Amino acid sequence: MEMTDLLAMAPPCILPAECEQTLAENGLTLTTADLAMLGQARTEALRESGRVELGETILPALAEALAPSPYVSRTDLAQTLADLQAIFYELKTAGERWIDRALLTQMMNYFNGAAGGSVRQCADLCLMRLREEA
Amino acid sequence: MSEIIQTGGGGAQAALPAILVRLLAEQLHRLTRGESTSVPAQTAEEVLSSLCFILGLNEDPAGDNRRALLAAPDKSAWLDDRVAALRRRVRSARRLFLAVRDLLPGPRCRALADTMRSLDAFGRAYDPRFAAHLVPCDMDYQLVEMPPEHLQGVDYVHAWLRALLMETDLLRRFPETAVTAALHRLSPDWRAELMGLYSPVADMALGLCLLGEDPRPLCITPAQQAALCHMLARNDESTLRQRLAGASAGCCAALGVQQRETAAYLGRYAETVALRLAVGETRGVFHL
Repeated sequence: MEMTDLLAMAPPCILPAECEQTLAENGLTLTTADLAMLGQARTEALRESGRVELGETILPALAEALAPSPYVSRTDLAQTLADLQAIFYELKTAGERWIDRALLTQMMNYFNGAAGGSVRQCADLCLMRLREEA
Repeated sequence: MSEIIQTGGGGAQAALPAILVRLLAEQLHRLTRGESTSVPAQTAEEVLSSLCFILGLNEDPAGDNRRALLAAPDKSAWLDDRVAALRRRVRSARRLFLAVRDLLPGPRCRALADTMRSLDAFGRAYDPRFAAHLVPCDMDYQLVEMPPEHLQGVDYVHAWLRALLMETDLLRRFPETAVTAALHRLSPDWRAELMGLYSPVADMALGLCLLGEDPRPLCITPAQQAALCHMLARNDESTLRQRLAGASAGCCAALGVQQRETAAYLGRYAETVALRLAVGETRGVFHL
């Protein structure tokens, strides 16, 4: 079985009700089209980072962590999530020892702090931290 | 493995890929202790190979295991049962290992000693859930009959130990001094060489039995070598097979071999010797 076959069988991106509620509490929402785009972006990001994700996805945790950020708005939520999702998988591959929760916390600390809402800078800072810890 | 996924066919069989993916997702969740939603593709591939082995889908020509999986009401419980069965098989391999170790005669080459040391740790190193298809051992020792290549994981180790048991059961019947001397004549550095002990000892024993001699001394004199050459010259393949089969039976009788498997093992080896002689490959056989 090729990994692409596995990815094709991965469940679609669905947000649990509590995640939708967190977004709503912060004045944010994701449309069906947004979720479809995020699903496609996820497949692409997993392929590029050489990873497989079959059961739960990281998207709900990412969306909940991002919801209170001052650097996200209703208009760019989906794209920011897609970008953060991509660097999340990239960073997981670079630092396999980081568990999801720790990496998410680290990413959001940089995103909301030193990176000032820049996804790329957030990724660079996380990578620097990874190298320091290596 | 792709065939397992893609030859689902129609009806219930079509559900197989989705079942496998769901079980794989559960396995990966367990592997990461729920602390990571994703894993490197290579890890997923290994765990998938392990899963297919656990479920018996790799060697399933009649489709029995496939049907059993499809019929199981709780697929996760079915998987757990199969893992438990593998753990029992590991314990059985351990018992086999101990039986072989107790029987092993004194003369041992380095490869055999290293392989036995590695096999001693098999039970601790083997992972029957996430890497069940792998053999976490260095098994450099050369058996006359290596297990079929399609065997994986504990099945391979089991078959390997079974073959070693057959070889050991024969070797232990010769005086240790005779075995050591026979190996030394073949190569003074035999302990360090990557060679099996069975083949040179069985060659000698078969040679002596062809001459109607007692195989236990494991020593063929120059006069006996000449007699063997004379006896085997101009024999066709069928005659050689018959002669070697008779020598094999004679050898088992002389050594008091009761185990049918041990006798059959030597019988198959004798057949390969006959074939080697038939194609004129006499070098090494009976030291001719």
